[in-house]
Amino acid sequence: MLLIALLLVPFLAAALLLVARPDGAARTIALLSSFITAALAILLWVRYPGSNVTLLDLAWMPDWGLRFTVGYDGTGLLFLLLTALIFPFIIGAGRREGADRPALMNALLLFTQSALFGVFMAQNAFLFYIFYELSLVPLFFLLLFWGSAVPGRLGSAKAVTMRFFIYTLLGGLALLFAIAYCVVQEPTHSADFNALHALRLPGDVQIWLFWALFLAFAVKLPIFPFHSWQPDTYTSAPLQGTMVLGGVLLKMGLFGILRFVLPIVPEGVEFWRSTVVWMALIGALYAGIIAFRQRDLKRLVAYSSLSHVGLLCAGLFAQNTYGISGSLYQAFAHAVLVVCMLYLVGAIQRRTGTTDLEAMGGLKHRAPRLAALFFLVMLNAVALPLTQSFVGEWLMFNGLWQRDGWMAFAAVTTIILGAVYMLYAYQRVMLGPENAKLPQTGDADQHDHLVLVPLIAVSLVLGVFPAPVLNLLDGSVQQMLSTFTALY
Amino acid sequence: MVNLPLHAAMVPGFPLLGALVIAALRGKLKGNAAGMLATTMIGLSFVVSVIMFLHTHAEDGPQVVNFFDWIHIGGMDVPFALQIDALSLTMMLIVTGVGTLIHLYSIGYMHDDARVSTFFACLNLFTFAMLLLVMGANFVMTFIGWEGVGLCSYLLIGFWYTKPAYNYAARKAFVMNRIGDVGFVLALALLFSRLGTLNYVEVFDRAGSLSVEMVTVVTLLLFVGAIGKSAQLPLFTWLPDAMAGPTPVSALIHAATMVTAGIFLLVRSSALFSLAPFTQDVVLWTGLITALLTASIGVFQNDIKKVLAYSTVSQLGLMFVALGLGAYSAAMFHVTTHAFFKALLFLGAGSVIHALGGEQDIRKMGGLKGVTKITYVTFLIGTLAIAGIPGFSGFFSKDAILMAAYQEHPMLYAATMAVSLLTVFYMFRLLFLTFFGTYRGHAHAHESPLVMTVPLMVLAVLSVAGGLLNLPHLFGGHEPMKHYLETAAEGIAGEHNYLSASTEWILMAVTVGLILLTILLAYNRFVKKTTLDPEPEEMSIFSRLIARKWMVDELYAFLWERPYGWLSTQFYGILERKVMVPITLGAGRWTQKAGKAARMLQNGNMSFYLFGMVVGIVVFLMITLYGG
Amino acid sequence: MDGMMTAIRVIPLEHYIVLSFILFSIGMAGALFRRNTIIILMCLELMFNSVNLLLAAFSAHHSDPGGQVFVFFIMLVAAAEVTVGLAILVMMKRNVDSVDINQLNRLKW
Repeated sequence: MLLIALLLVPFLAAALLLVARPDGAARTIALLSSFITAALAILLWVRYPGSNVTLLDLAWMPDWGLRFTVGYDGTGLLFLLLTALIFPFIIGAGRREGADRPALMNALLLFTQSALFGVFMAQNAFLFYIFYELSLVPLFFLLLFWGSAVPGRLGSAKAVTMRFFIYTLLGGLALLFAIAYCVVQEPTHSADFNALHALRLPGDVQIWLFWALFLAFAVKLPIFPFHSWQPDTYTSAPLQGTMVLGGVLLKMGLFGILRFVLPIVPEGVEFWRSTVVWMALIGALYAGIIAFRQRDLKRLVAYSSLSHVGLLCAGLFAQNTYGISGSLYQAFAHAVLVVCMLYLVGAIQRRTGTTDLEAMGGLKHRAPRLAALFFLVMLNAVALPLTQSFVGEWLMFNGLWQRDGWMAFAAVTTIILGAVYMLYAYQRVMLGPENAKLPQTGDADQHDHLVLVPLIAVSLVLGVFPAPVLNLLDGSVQQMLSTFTALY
Repeated sequence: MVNLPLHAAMVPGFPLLGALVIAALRGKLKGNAAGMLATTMIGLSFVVSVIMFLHTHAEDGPQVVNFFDWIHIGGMDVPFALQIDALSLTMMLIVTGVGTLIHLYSIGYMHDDARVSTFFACLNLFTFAMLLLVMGANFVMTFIGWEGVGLCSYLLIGFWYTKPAYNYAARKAFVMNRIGDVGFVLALALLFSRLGTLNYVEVFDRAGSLSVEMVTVVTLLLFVGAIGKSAQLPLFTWLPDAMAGPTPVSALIHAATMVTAGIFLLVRSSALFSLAPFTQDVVLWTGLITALLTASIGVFQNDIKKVLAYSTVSQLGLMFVALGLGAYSAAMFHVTTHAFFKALLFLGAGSVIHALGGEQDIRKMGGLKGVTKITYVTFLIGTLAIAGIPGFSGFFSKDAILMAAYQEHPMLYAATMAVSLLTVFYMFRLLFLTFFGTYRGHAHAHESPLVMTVPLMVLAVLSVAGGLLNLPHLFGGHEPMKHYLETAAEGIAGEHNYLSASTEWILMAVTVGLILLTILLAYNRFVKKTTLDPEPEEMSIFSRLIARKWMVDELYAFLWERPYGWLSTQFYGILERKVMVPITLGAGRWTQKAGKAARMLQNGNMSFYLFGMVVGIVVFLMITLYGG
Repeated sequence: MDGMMTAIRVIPLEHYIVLSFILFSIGMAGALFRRNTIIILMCLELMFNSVNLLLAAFSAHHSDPGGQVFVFFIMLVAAAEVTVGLAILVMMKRNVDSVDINQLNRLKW
C-alpha cells in the first residue's frame, strides 16, 4: 500500500490546495506532503527485497489491456526515490522566489509529482502512458501562468508553452500508437510490461517500431535534433518549473527507454544503436559548445543540461552493465545538479537583478559564501572525482568504450567542454574586480544553505560512497541485461 | 610496529583534516593560526611518512591497503585503496618534506593577505590530492589525485581573483589539464576493457597478455595525460601563465610536485611503457623538443618567475627524455633533486619579490646580494645545483640523463647538452641581473624574516647533498635510490649501463668545461656590462620570435580559442536558431495548418452536415456488408 | 392482438421493406434538400416512422415483441425531439423572422 500512498499523498495535498487555496500556508502544506512522500519512499527502499515486486493489480479496462498494475524494481525504485527526495528541495526553493498564487503553484507541482510517481511505478504500458501524459497537464499551466518571455520570434510565454506542449504531445502520440500496435500483436491483448517484454516481433517491424517508441522519449529527454523546445522552455519557465523539467521530468524519458525501447524492440535497438548513440553524443558536444557563448545564465544551464542528457542517453544505449548503471547513476546526479544550478541562478538573479552574464562579475566580494556554494556545485558539474557525477560518467565511459572506442572518445571530450563553460560562467558571475553596478546585497542566507548544503552533501557523499545506489542498481541491471540477451 | 592501514590513512588524512578545519573556521582564525595549523598538519604527515619509510619493508614489494569498495558494480571493482612501495614512499617524502618547508615559508610570505586562511586550506587540500595521486593503488585512485591537484592548482593560480588575467590563467591551466585528462580516462577505459582490472599490481602482472598495438595505444593515451599535467608540448603554455599564483604555490605545485605527476605516472606504469618502443620514442622526442624550445624562451624572459617557469618546463622535458630512453631511475632522481633546487629557486625568487614589495621584473633589480644575503647565498646554491656544477645535486641527476642520452646516440647527447647549456645561461643571467651590479629599481629592499629564510637554508642543504641519494658507482657510491626504486617500478630493473668508466669521465669533463664556459659568457654579458634586453620590437626577427615565446600562445588563440568561440556563436546563431527552432515551430505550424483545413468542413450548412452523415452511414454500411 | 399479427403477416415482408425504404428515402431527400425547417422536421418524422413500420413488421413476422417495444421508444423520443425542435423553430421565427435552415449557419469557425 506504500505505493498507493505515494500516489495519493501528493494528489490529495494538491487537491486540498486547489480547493481551499490557503495562500498563506500553501508552502507549508506542500512541504509537509513532500516530506511525507520522501519518508514513504525511503521506507520503500528499506523494504526493497532485491527483485521485481508487483504490489497491486486491478482490472481497469481489461479488454483493452489496461490494468492498474503498479510495482517496482531496482531501477524503478531509484527513480521513485529521486522524485521523492528532490521535490522537497524544489518546493522549498519556492520560498525565495515569491511567486504569486502560491497555493495554485504548489498544487500544480504536487500534481506533477503524483503523476511522476505513477509513471515510475506503472507496470502496464497504457497506465504508463496515462501518467506520462498526465504529468504534462500541470506543467502546462505552470509554464503558462508563471513563464516569462524569452527573446526571439514567438518568444512569449504562451508561445513557448504551446510549442513545448504540442511538440511533446506529438512524441507521445507516436508512443500511444506503438503501444496500441504492440497490444494488438500480443496474443492475450495484455499491455502489462511483462507480457510486452516477452513479445517477439518480426525484425522488419522492430526497425520501424523502434522510432515510434523512441520518438516520445527522444523529445522528452531531449536528444539532438529533437531538442529545440528545451532551451527556450527552460529559460522561460519559472524556476521551480525548470527544476521539475530538468530534474525529474526528463528522467521519464530515460525510464521509458529502459521499459519500452530496449526490451520490446531489441532488434530495432541493435539496428539503430550507433545512429542513436551518435545522435546523442553529437548533441552532447553541440550543446556543450553552444553553452560556452550563452549570455543568459539560465540558458547556459539549459544547454549544459542538454549536454549531460546526451551523455545519459548514449550511456543507456551502450546497453551493458556499465553503460546502463552509469546512466542511471548519473540521472540521480543530474537531478541534484540541475536543482542546485537552478537554485543558484535564482539566488544570483535575486542579488544582481539579472541573469545576463555580461552584466555580472565580482559577486564574490559581496557574497563569498554564495561563491563557495557555487564552486562546490561546479565541482559536481565538471564531474570531478569524488563527486557523484564522476561515478556516473566514469561508468558510462567504460560502457561506451566496450561498444566502440570512438564513441567513448566523443563522450570523454565533453569533460573538456564542461570545464570550459562552467569555469567561464563561474568567472563571469563571481570573480573579477568589485562591481559597483551591483545593487547592495547580502551573502547566502540560512534559506540558501538549507536548500543547497544538503544537496551538495548528497553529491559528495554519493561520490565517495556510491555503494548504496550502485547495489540497488546492480541486481536489476543484471537481470534486465540477462532478459535482453535471452531475447536474441 | 607500523600499523599499515592507519599510517597509510594518516599521511593524506592529516592535510585533508587541516584543509577541512581551516575551511570551516576560516572566518575565526586570526593571524598566523591557519598557517601554523596547515604546517603542523603536513609536518605530521611528513613524520608519518618518515616512520613508514623506515619501518615498512618496501623492498619486499608493494603493500596494498584496501579501505572500502568505491565503485563496485558488475565486473568492475575499483577499491578505495592505497599502495605503499618504494616509488610511492619516495614521492610521499618529497611531497610532504618539500611541502612542509613551503608551508612554513608561506606563513611569512602570505602573512598580510586578507584571505590567508583560504590560501592554506587550498594548500593543504592540494597536498591531500597529491598524496592520493602518488599513493593510489589503482589508476582511478591516481586519477582522483590527478584531478584534485588540477582543481587546487586552479584555485591557487586564481587566488587573487580580482584580476581577470589571473582568472584567465587559472581557467587555461584547468582546461589544458582537462585535455590531457581525456587521454588519461580513455587509457583507463581501454585498459579496463582489456584486462578487467585497474589495480596497479594486477595490471602490471597481466601487461604481457596485451598485444603490442594495444600497449602502444594505452601508453600513448596515458602520455597525453602526462603531457597535460607536466606541461609538455603542445600543452605547456599554461605553466608560465600559472605564475599568476602566489610564489609559494609556484614552488610547490608548479615546480616541485604537481608537474612531476606526469613523470610519476610514466614511472609507475613503466611496466607498460617498456613494452611499447614506439611510445617511448614519442616520449623522447616530445621531451626533447619541449626542453629545447622552452629553454630558448627562458633566455629572453624578464619576469623572474617566468624564467623559472620556462626552466621548469625545460627540466621536465629532460626528464621525459630520460623516460623515453628507459632511464626511469635517472628521471626519478632528477625529479627529486629538481624538487629541491627548483623549490629553492622559486622560494628565493619569492623572497626577492617580497623584499622589493612585489617587483618581478629583473630589469628593475640588481645589486641585491649585499642587502638580502641569505637569499643571495641560497639562490646561488640553487643556481649552481640546476647548472650542474660538480658536487651539487643537479650535477649527478643531470649527468645520469646525459649519460643515458649518450648511450642512445651522441647526437642526442649533444641536444640534451644544448638544453643544459641554455639552462646554465639563463639561470646565471637571472642570478647576475638580480643580485649583481647596481640596483635599478626604486623600492626599499629588505631581507625576509626567518620563517622564510629557514626553509631556504634547509632546501639549500638538500640541493647540495641531494646527490648523495643516488651517488653513482663512478664516485664510489652504489646508486641506493635506483636499487630502492627497482622494487617498485619494473622498468628500472631493466635498465643497464654499459658505458666504460673512461668514456664517462671524458663526457663529464666535456660537460663541466662547457658549463664553465657558459657561465663565463653570462658573466661577461650581464655583470661586466649589465646588458638588458631591449623591447622585442628592436630585436632581430629570430630573437623576436623567441622573445614572443615562439608565438605559441598566439597560435593556439588562432587555432583553438577563437574558432571555438566562433563555433559556439555560429552553432547558436545559425544552426540552433535558424534550423533547430524552426523544426519545433514547424510542429506547431503544421498542427495549425491541419486545423485550418479541417475547419473548412464546419461551414454551418445544415444540409451539408446531414449529407456528410448520410454518406458516412452508407460507407459504413457498405464496409460492414461487403468488407469481408 | 393475435388477429392483428396475422393481418400483418398476410402481406409478405418484402413489401414492408420496400415501402419503408421508399418512405425513408423520401424523408431523407426532404431533409437534405428542403430549406424550410418545418418541412425538415416533418421529414425526420417520416424517416422515424418508416423505421417504426419496419420494426413492427419484423416483430410480427418473427414473433418477437422486442421490435414493438423499440417502436414505442422511438415514438417517445421522437415526441421529445419534436418538442425541442419546434421550440427552436419558434425562437428562430421570433429572432430572425424566418424558418429557412440556412439562416442557422452562424455556429461555425
